[in-house]
Amino acid sequence: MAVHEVVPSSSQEAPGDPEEALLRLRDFLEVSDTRGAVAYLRELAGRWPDSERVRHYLNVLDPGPARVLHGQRSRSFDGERAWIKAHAHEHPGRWIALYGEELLASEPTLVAVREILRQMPGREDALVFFVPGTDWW
Amino acid sequence: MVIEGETGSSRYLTDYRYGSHRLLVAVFCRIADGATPSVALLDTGSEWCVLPPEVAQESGFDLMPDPATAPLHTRFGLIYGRLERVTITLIADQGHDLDVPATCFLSEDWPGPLVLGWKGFLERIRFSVDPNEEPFYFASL
Repeated sequence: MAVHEVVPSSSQEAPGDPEEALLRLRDFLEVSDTRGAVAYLRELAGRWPDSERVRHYLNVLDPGPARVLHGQRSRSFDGERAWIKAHAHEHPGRWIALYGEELLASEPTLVAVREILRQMPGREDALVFFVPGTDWW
Repeated sequence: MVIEGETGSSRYLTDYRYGSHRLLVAVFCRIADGATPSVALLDTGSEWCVLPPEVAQESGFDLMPDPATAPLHTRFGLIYGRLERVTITLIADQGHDLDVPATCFLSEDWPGPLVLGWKGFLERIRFSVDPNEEPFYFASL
């Protein structure tokens, strides 16, 4: 695999404002150099500490550690797992809502599925997902 | 069973078919705090997580492409979009759920399912799979 090296911003002509500087972020992202991108953003944050856009990208690319949710336990999805294996292929391009092995909705839009679920008290925790159309694969 | 040091585990979905194709490995998760559960394709070959545009809009995100974000290379060609931070919760059958701050690529042009990618998600946790019993083990770093 070819290794690309992004030229550090300090060796290029300094951009005049954060928007112009953020366009160089793309150079890092195009070669999957996330660490370089974060280092570059920290450099920009030092230069423009009030830039919301710079802070936004730091937050997006360096978001901090995962967090364990102690004491939380979700319901079992064994029923949904069985239904998906048996029937998901029958609904290409549709948004699905399931509760156990019960099909609650199969609609062309997520909005339509949400509307149906709003009329089903007790099914707020239904599994909702998109089955890609056959052209996606 | 939860392996020592792991936060939780859940049985993953594997090898089920859509049309003439098969989805290899998918897991249960929640997008954004308190959201309804969903199914995500686990894809070590994808750089970022990718949200279906309807899910992104439902969560209040703008889909306007950002010039600072490099386009995503897909089988459909380049897709232009933006990067956002989204909390994705891995749902545990055993042990505890895990909140992962994910980097997600959002685009109106994405025609596929919810994807959990490498740099935006998987490299921020420890995980393993066991093809015998099909558990997906996960933990914080």
